[in-house]
Amino acid sequence: MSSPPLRWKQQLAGQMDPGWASEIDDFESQLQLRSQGKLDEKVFAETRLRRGVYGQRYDNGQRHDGIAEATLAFADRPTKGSETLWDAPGMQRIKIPGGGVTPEQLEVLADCAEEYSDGILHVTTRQDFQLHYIHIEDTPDMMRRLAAVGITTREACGNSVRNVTACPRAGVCKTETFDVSPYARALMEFMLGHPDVQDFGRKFKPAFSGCEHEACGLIQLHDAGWLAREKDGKRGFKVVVGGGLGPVPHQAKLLSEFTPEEEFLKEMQAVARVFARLGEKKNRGRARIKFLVAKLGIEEFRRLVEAEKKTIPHDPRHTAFLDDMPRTQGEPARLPAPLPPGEHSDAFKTWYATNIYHQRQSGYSLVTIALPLGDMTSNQTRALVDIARTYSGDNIRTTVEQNMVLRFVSSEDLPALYEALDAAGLASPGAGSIIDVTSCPGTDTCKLGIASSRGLAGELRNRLGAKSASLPQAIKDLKIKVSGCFNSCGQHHVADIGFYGNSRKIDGRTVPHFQVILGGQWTENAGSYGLAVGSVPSKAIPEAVEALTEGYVQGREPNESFQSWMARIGKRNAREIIKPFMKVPAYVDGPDFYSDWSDVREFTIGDLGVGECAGEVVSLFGIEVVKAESQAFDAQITLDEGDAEGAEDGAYSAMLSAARALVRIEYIDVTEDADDIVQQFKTRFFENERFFDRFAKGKFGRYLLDRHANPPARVDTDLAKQRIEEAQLFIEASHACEARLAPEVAVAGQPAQESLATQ
Amino acid sequence: MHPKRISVKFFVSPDPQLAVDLHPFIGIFHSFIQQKTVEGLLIDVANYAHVPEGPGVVLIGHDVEYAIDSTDGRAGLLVTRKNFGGAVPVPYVLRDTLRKALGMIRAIEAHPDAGLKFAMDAIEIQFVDRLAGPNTDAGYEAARAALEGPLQEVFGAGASLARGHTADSRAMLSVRVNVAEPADAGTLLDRACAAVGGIRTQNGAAPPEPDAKPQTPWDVSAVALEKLRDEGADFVLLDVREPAELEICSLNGTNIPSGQLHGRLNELERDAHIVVHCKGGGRSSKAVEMLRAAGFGNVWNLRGGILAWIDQIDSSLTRY
Ligand code: SF4
Repeated sequence: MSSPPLRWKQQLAGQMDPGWASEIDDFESQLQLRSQGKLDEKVFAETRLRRGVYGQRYDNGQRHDGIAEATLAFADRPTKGSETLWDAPGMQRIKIPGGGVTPEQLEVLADCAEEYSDGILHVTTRQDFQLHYIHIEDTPDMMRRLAAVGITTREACGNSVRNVTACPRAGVCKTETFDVSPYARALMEFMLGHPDVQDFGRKFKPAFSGCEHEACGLIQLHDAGWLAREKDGKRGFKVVVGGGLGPVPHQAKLLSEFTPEEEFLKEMQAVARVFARLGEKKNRGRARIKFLVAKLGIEEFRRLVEAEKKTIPHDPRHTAFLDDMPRTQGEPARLPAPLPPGEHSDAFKTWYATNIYHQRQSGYSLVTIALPLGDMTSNQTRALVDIARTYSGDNIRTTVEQNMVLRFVSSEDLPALYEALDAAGLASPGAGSIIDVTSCPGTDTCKLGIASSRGLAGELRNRLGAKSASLPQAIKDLKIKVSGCFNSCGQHHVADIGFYGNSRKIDGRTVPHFQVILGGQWTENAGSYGLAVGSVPSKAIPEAVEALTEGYVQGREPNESFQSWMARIGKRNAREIIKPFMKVPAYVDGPDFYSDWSDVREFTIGDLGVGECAGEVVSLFGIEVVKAESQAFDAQITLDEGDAEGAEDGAYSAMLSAARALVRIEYIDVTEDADDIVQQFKTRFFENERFFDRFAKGKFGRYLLDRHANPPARVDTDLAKQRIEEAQLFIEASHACEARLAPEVAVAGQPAQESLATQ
Repeated sequence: MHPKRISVKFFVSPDPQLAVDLHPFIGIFHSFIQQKTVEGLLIDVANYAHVPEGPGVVLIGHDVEYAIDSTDGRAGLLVTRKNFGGAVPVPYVLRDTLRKALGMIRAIEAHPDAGLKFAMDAIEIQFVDRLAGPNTDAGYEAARAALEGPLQEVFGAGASLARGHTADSRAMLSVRVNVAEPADAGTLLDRACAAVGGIRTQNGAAPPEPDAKPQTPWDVSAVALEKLRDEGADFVLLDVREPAELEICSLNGTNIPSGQLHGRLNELERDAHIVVHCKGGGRSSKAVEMLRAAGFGNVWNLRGGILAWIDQIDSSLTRY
């Protein structure tokens, strides 16, 4: 047995795209250099993140084991990023453009999950796959195996154009204008490694949708979105920019009512250049394009894009894809035929009711495989591959609801398909219903996670699943989405009932909580975001959900949606419903409240790590200013609801919170008292001009001082509006001030807070 | 044949087809981390109870992973040994994996909340590496040749091997081991430990590392050094003691007595990964500082010297 060990590199040599193969070789040598301490830590971190190789929770080698903070005894080796130990397990993100995978690709993914991870493939809310607990030294070979079947992990992370998502129904949908999949692919291919996207201050997430009214593409919450339109028989897109979730959610703004198909790539290039040139680089918390669009205003942004377009030289690739664009799908495996009439089992009927969509192509169905928490095993994956080969051909996709779909299944085959799926444990009913809870990784693996989103999602799924047969249809149709923190990877803003993790200090201990967000809109491409109504301890969330759904069923008017019901009863009444569940018993009476779902350790937020990807420290300020941001956000909502006085007051509170966050950097004991905050702010930041902007000078700071000194006697809508704007500017200025105070942590190129799940 | 990972599965007794209540294992595994009950660099607990016939609840470690796994509807303890580099021979890895698995079995069987027993009459071994251990006839023959001897050392001469159950050629290579005369887990653990060498505490666990004071900013612990060796890492072990001391005990490193080091720098490569040791860490600390000052960038000190190694890793060496 003296033959040299086999290597994937040689084994797969002829099967990889040569460009990809040499990129992976480069990555492997950088990895070796870094492991010998010969490459700079930051350079290596950026390199690996650009290839989708992330850190994971506990990778600084510290973990609270439930009793004490413990050091994980990893070997002393060079780090793979700031505070990221070499041997600590990591996550590999594998981007799947438009969610489309082939059986061959799935087979390799299944192999990789088994050999390098723990045998689980996880589907994310952006149609990617993620594998967890990966050892960095395995990543080059894993990349080679994926590359050999046409998957690249390049730019799965980093400040680049992230996975292009698209509606999983594209091409088979009854309401779409046309199939957006080839355009999504064209954009992906055009932008991958393009010089104009290398200098972004932050990541950029694109999405495509075939029609306006469904959710599938969720373009409103993306950095840029393309909505299929036809005009005078020509194809093109309505284009929107600057949407996004996170602590400050933005709805995307209209860039163009109609961009013809031959111009959309050029226009994207112009957007990229404007963003690269003018986007924020220093302060990573403000660097997404949504902030640039908000700052310039969409009209100015549009003007800049138009001007930029004129300077972009002709590039044949702007239109080349149109010539060889597949106008149709891959080949279906079977001929179309209707579902034969006859006796079907109840289980089949239940599944059929929720997991089947009748395609535009008659006789064909789209079948959703509902994956619990987005997870499936390697064995299940292979079973799915066999089923796909028999019944649907190449037509497999991932969805943003963390499921898989098979397309072009002949409806005639559905009963047999159901049996086959069931044998593999893949026939869970309820796809897209209330039991199909979406969740980001949360504290399971994400370094930024505060509470266990997966634990909660699993619990809700179990409880609701157990009684799903008896739930009224109106409840079944609701959507629940959970994020482990305010970064919103679980897309909680667009669920009927959404949650994000936070924590409260009670009894000297930290208790996991979730903020409850109600009435977000999933349809209309995620057309509007939900309202925060209050924080409930994790362990009481299932009861709160029960109360909310019951309140809805009892209080709704005929055919009233959850959203309209919420809008009608208002935030205050909604809060009344959850109020009974907001209390935390003393530790002795309910120790259970002090640990999280699916965990037995006493809860702590001590494990919160440094976020990654291009990962700056989430500073105390960063955490606290979020409160100000959500107060400003809520003030806007309050105003929309017609309560000008409440809105004005909310905006003022938002300024106070931002000022307090700033003061607390230096003086942790400042009270919550308005006079105290303003006094401290004044002496520490205003009078010495540290808060001053180069151009605006003390203008923004005076917003707070003036309002504090002279509360308005009468508030009308205009004044409230003005105050909200002031609050937003004040918060902006606080961010800028904080960035100036800590230049060393906010340098561009230095990794910033990054959410783990879904990019 | 040098697979990157190997797994061993012991099945639940009496009936592996019955569903196991996974929920208690979240707490049990967390407590094993807290109390260092089982071997390995333990990191966290992953709960996959929601996935049918999956890995269930997993105790994730850096070098080993323990799962209450129910793949193919057969529940058992699946132990995967990983991250030991490519150059470690299969027999060593197998014995080591068995040692860890048996330690875990004893810990689970002793735990009041677990309610699980394991059968010792058959196990399954998987090559978690499709390149080094392909699921082919030739792959199986190579595996059998490498495994048979060490398996019989642990399970007795009556242990017989067969190709694993699965018909799917895409699955990993698996070897089924049937044991003619099953022994209890404790006996098996003793045999596995005897074969591997090294220490054995109550459950087969490695003792926690004693709190040692840092001697240089570039210390490595004895445990870390063992890991480097384990993984077949490419490094130089430099022993700076006097030749007479080497005769008492030695780790078989390259010997350059500390007094001569300065004049013999040309015998070392500047970018080599070097771990230096002496008896207790005094001389090696100085050597590391000197080497670093001379431009050697990747040099480390074995904290506590060979005495720490004897205390923590190999008590069969002579103390002095
Ligand atoms: S950063 Fe994203 S993935 Fe991580 S816990 Fe927060 S929302 Fe979830």
